[in-house]
Amino acid sequence: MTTKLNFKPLKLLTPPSPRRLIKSWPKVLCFILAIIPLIMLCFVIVNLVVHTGPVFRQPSYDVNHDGIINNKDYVGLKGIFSTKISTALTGNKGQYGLIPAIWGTILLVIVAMGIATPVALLMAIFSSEFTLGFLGRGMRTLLGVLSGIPPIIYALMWIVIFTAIIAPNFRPDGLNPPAGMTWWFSPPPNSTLIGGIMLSLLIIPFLAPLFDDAIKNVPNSFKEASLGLGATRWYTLINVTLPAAFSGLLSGLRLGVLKAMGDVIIVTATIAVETNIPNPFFDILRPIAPLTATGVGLAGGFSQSMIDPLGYAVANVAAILLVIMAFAIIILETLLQRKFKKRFSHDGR
Amino acid sequence: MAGKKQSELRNGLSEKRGNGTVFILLLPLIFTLMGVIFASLILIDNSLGKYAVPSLITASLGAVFLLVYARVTSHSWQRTLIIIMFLGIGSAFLINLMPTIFFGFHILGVFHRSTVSAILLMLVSLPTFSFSIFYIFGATPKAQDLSRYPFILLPIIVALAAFGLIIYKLLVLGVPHFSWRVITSNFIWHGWSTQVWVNGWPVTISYNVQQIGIGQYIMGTFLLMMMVSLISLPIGVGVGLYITEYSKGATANIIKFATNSLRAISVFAIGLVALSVVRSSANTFLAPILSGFYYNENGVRNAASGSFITASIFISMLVIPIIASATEEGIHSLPHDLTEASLGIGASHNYTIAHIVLPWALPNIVTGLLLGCAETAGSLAAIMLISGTSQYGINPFTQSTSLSVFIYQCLVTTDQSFKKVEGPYVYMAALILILITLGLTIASLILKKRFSRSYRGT
Repeated sequence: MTTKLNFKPLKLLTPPSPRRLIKSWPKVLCFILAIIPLIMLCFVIVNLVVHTGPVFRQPSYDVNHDGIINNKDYVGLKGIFSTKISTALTGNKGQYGLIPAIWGTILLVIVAMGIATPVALLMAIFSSEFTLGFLGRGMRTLLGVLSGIPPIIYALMWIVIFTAIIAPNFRPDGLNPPAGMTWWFSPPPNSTLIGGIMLSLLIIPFLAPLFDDAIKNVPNSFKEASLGLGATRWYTLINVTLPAAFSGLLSGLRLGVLKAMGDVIIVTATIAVETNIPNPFFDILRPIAPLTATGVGLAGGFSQSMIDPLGYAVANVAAILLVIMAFAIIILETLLQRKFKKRFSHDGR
Repeated sequence: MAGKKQSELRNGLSEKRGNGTVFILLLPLIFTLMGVIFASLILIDNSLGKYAVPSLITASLGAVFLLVYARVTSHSWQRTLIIIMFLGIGSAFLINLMPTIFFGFHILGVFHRSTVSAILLMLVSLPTFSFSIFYIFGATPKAQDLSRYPFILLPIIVALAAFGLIIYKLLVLGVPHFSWRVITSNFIWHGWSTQVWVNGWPVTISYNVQQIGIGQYIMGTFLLMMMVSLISLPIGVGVGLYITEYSKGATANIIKFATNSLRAISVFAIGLVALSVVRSSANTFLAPILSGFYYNENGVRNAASGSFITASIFISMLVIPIIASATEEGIHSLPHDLTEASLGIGASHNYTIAHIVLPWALPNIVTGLLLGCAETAGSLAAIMLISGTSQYGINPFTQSTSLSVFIYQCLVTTDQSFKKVEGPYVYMAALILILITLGLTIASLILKKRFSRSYRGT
């Protein structure tokens, strides 16, 4: 038996005819425009990786802004993953451990999402399921308007929320300690809690419409089947609508977590830059700077002339860690979506 | 038959409820609502002195009335609810009676006493309130739904109150400082010194020229918005068109992933790369474009720390995904009939895209553009490391600045004299920034609603 081999010419190797190229110029133009974001992403990541150089270089000397030569120790991976950090701009032996910053990011995300998720979910439930007619529509419009407030406003007004909530309830400063006693707890004004509260105010108007869409996309047949059997609206919501909307809720949650993780301005204003792990380590009434705030502190904030080369390189490492964490969250979310996809689908398959 | 049954049921219920129905029904509702209000008053006013006794009385009375009512009507009553109620009331009493120093510990050390007792009273009053709603509406499934409203509404009201507080404080602090002169004039600060001879001795005289204003920050915001739209509109629309119309395979997925990742990775990474670009372009031919330049008061050309061109390139990394997703959404909402009709008549693919697809997606693209402009006005993290007070004029080659940069400068600066001069106007600047961003957001909302209505109708 003879098999007829059918060779097709490779499309890549044969140049397209000029006539065809001219005819498809919009496609070529769109392709050129469309790969620009890809180039930008690659440029960002490559640039970050390249500028981490001084971290892994052997003991070096550098000149700080006063012209004094400082002996800088070798940082390396061991220095990055240590728990000690001290300001690099002034001390001549900087310690650049990023473990506190990583823990700060995790703690901040937990606090901010712990406040934002229930409130946003209740807002979405209120405006889509437990609607009071015009009130639900008004709520959606209000959230759309509130989502336009930029983060710098929250960074500016954090002291207002601080004096309204944290200072009277958690900081009894007005009460003098009795004679012979000191407060065994007197947190500073900067704290992870106030950072998380301000961040949750930024996230709630962003998250609630996403949850709202996710709940609205659940097919009506699901709810009608449950309500027709005599279940109450609340029972339907908890047992049918929310599990069916799980995939949409999860993708909304992922976007919220990424927003909480990547925020720079609010955390720089409310939580300090470059701090050590508090004792106990879960103390949210003391400041523990996340990766972004630590990175801003190491990169010098506004004053460019004061940039410490080693600290700047460590800031790049912090940014790379943030990118890795973001991609890890995206992958985790994709895996979870794949796992829960089979439970509810529109066709019932 | 069914009607008879229903009337029987109703009679049975009214028998159970007794004669003075309405009054007895309203008692637990009123008392528990008062308990909620008193507990929130304790939280707001932060003093136990005025509200402790009335709130405790109302909470316990409401609980007792609810219990009596549930017993009389012989509805099923929850044991856990009773335990929560009496534990809450009892511990609130205990906290009120406790001495300030307790076994060597100062009990106001961590939390204020009023906070704890207010939270406890809230824990008692809210379930009893919702249960009294449940009983008043006849303990039906509908009443069960209605009794969930307090739990849904309370966190929403608290969150909206926080937003309201912020905006109210901003108005209170910002409006009194409003002046056209500050808005329209630039912030200028020149200082120089000269040496003169007085009586045979050298004396240094320093001059200081100051002008208070936020003019260049506002102009910088608008310039940034304009340049970012110029860069990101073609790229965003190109991405949207390419991944929906021209390619649907792996290439489209990669481009989509890259575009979404630009927003997923932290803005801090982008800001850091902007700084590194400016720093590494120093002393090269790109320096005047990327790091910018200005002429100071003596006419000497200096290098700036990052031009508007660099700033707009790095902000457009955040705006491209917005416009791309808006374009994609608009194209996905296009009915297949229209494209098929166009292709069936004999129009080419490109002609269809130019005359059917793009006009259809135009409202979405404009919406995305407006949202992108709002994002540009508010985005700071991408340019915070390269911008400053651009006090020597605003053009694409000078140091980048915007209103949010100004607000951040006032927040973090250690320069006390700058804070003293420009500090009072920071809230006014924040108000102007909010006006710009909210105006753009509301315009995009209105546009989306209006155009979607007129197009969906066809």
